[in-house]
Amino acid sequence: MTPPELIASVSSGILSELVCVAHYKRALTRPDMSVGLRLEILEWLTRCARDLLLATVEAVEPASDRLEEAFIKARRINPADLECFFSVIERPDVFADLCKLHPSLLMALEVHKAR
Amino acid sequence: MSTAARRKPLVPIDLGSVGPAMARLPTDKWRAACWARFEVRDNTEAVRLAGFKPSRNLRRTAYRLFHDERMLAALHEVGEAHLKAGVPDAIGVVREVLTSAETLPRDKLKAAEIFLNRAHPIQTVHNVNVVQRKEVTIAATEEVIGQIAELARKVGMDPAQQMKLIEGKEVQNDAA
Repeated sequence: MTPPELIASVSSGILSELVCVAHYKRALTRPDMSVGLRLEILEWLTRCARDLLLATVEAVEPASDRLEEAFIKARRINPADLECFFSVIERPDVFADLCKLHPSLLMALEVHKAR
Repeated sequence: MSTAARRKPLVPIDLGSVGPAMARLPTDKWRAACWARFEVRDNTEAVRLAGFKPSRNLRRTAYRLFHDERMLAALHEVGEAHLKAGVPDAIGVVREVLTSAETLPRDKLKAAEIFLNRAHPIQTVHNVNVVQRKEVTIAATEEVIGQIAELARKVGMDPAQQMKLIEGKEVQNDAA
């Protein structure tokens, strides 16, 4: 299965979830984070692992600088509208580009598909 | 038949059978030009077909007609009707691609996708709950730290690294 076919074969919600997993994993590597927030993010990741698959979440590496930059740019398109952010990153062509910036997204998708 | 008679549409156009924008056009020749525009490639040819007098000014007449607000509205109206009329043909083509034995699998897939996307479009629903709550500071007690380590392990992250980051923060806080 080629990357575009793989991306097209899953629901768009999974695509955005994987990007968010990478973003929050990166956030967890920051030392300047309150214990409460760290706990909250880890709880969210646990829920993701339950919804997707532990192996899928494990396969996602913390966001690289370039993925983080793209994430922030997408979030800034319309800061008041979260749906706008999701609709951008869930676009197959956009997600394919994000995979180029951060290959573990595609690897996680492969793991998710192979379950 | 005189030249003048030939230039008039042979049958008067029934205004009841046209849309409101077409009905607002000043004459039947304008309406004929509007319809003709969908059959030919340029404005001048359309006005010529509609029966406007062939002359050096025909291009100017065409420009005037097809830049008139009323004509633009009529073109939009007729254009929409053309598009709707083309739908059965378009569906026929997609169905033919879908059922033909000679179609390549990837083209069949694409044709199937066209039907599926319209009949059962994929929908993503995000439930965003905004909860206003008081800021609660969670202290880095042993219990909380243990919980963080446990959750980090559950999601395949290194608990030791999380511990290290929390400890580093405590040191920073103490220093402050």
